[in-house]
Amino acid sequence: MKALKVFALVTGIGLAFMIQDVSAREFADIYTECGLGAMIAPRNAAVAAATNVTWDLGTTAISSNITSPDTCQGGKEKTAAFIYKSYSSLERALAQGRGEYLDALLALAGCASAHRVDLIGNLRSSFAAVVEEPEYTERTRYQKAEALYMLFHRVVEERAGYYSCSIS
Amino acid sequence: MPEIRPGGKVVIRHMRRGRPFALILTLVTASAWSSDDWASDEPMAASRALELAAARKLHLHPQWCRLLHADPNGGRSEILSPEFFLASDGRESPQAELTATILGWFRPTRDPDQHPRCRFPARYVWLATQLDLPEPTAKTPGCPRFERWAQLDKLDSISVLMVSGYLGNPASSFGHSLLKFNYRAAESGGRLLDISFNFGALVPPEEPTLLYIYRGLVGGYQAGFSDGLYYAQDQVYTRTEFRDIWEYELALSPAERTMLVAHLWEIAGKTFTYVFLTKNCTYRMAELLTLATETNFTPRALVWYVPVELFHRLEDVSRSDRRAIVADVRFIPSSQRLLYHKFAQLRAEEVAAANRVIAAGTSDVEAVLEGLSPDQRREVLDALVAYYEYRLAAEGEHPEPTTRQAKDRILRLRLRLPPSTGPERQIANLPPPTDGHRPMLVGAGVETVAGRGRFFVRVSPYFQDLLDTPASPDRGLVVLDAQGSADSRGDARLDFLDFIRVRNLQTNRVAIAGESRLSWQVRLGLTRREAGAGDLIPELSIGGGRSVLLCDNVLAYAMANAAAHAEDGILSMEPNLGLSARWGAVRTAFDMVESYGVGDGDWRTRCRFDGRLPLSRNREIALGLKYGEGENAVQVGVNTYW
Repeated sequence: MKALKVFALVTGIGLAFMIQDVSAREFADIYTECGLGAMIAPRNAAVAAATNVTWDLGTTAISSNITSPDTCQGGKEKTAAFIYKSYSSLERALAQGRGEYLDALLALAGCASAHRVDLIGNLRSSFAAVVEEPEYTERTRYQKAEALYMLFHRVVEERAGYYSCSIS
Repeated sequence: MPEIRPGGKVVIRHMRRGRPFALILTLVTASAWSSDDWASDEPMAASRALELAAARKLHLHPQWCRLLHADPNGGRSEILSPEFFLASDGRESPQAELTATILGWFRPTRDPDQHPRCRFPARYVWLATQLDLPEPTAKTPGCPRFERWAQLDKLDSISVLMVSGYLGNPASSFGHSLLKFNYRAAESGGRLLDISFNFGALVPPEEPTLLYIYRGLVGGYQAGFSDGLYYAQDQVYTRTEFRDIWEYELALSPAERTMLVAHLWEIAGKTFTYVFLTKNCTYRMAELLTLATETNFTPRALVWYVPVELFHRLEDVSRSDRRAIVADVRFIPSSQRLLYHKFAQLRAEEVAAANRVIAAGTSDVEAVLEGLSPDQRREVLDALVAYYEYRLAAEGEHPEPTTRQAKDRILRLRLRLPPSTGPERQIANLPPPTDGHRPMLVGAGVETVAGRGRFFVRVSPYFQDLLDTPASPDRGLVVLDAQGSADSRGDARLDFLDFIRVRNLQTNRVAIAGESRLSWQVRLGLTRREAGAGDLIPELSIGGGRSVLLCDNVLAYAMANAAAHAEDGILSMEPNLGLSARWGAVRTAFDMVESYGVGDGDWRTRCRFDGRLPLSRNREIALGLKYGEGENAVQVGVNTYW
């Protein structure tokens, strides 16, 4: 019996690491292939503000649905882009435990509406643990977004059948 | 006209010459067919279509010219991208492009998404209403990429959004517009995941501001439409630039929506020449609406297409008997406005606690919140989370480390408490700028100056002062305001010319620690030091001070101005008091300046009273009383806005 418990524990930990490892690679690939890094406002903010500059016409793949390749149009890619670009709004929505940014995240991930409240609750608890980490403030935007992306996938995967998210 | 059926099938039916005729353009998932199965060998049908197009001069048809963004007389297209054209000379010749488009219908291809029917669906939607194109069969290739993107069967409506101007950058002061496709909220995840279309200039990074202004005015940039999920726009306009938005949801027919969506598919990623005054974002939006509805939304785009003009035009069409094109107008407040609203909802002790945290730092937040109930702590922490999110956005790409640390401390504390429950308190809607008058002013009337009568004329291409804007009663922006007058003896003069006049009054009733409450104003123009005499000389006046809302309709301000005159180098210090009030439709303003000449030590007093009584939305009686500097004047006239 004890051996069975140890086996289950090791398997669970291994699975969690595997999920994180896969998610981390996914996020890095999406960041690079779909140009997430170019989605932030141009350096000359005054110029951008003045002419409502478009700093890409779909050349940044993920920002354009029309001209971006199909490889950047999936649920995982859109979820990654959403987390990266909206990170501060997601932080705030998670703090409150509700909000349209959380609703949009779950919709992008194709999560069934029936258990979204439960999913948000789990995500919020897990996110709280991440924010408590001492180095959280010093992390870059990429690191924070990657961590949230991995966290989201872990929460979704752990109860995949219950949450029924299409990205799981 | 086309109709949409479940599954995204676009069905076009049209009546021609009394014979019912149905052409079904089916956009289906192209998973069970091979393009080799379909190849038209109908040279007769193609030549017949070309003959008919020539006979009807379809290349000169207004709708064809709109589809090509070409001169209405069959001239050159304004689209620069060669991939927009099927003919090698398609940009210069709408006729050549029409021929190539018709022939493209009959072209076989291996990749359906690259077939002209799928690259340019709007062209064929329109051509099907004009020509007897052969019916596709069950094996006709679909357009999977277009269908997947457009989701026409899930599209509820289309909105055009008016983004407010903001005075932090004068070139942004006139606002912006973009389109949004609204999908069914329950399925789509809400407005953040709607598709938005934005038109903007492609400006190189770190472009010097003066060069960018020059190139923007003379057409030195390319621009284009880019699509993306709406949250990207929300992040930029609402949460980074702190601009309010009014969403005008349009009541378009399914056929009109299809045309608009299909055409955006055609032009997304293609480049145009950007000209700030005329071929700007709003002009391009107006072009699209003109194409979709065949109602002209660009009649005034001769000198300057001010962004708000499109929305005035929408209101005009909506009020007319022809159709109610505006289904609804929704206000989307900026994150800054929401922050002040959040603080305004707090009780006094909660505001005090939040401000103590902001002022003293977040090292001992628990002690500050100790006397509050759990619900109050949650409210205060929610307000502080919103505050620090706002501060980080305001501090740009390199925020202060102390701000980031403070935000994260607050975030941790908030995450330790339960989630928020209960309804969210909605912010009051701000009336849209279209509730006021149109932007361009022409005024005329009579005045008595030093006892002598004069006739005056006043013009300005953009006139929105404190009395004008229901959306922003505490802001004024006037550009190129000029007045000339003449008396009965033919003595004519230019009385003044203000190149720009800006006034930004901070009237928030809730004080948030550290937030600037500075009101400011700037005026650059030509003025006379002595009334009615002397030359017009350049003057620059800059002032700062405080303002307060005495009640809902009365605003008062006190500023200290510094003014410099270019010709003689005179520097004046000018305390300035003012009052602005609205009583129903009547608007009044009083402004007093005590000017102290640093050089000559003289004091000069100037007072002005303005009263406006509207006769209609775009016409008003204007009364002006001026006292001081030897020029006491009474003015009565009529202002017309267009």
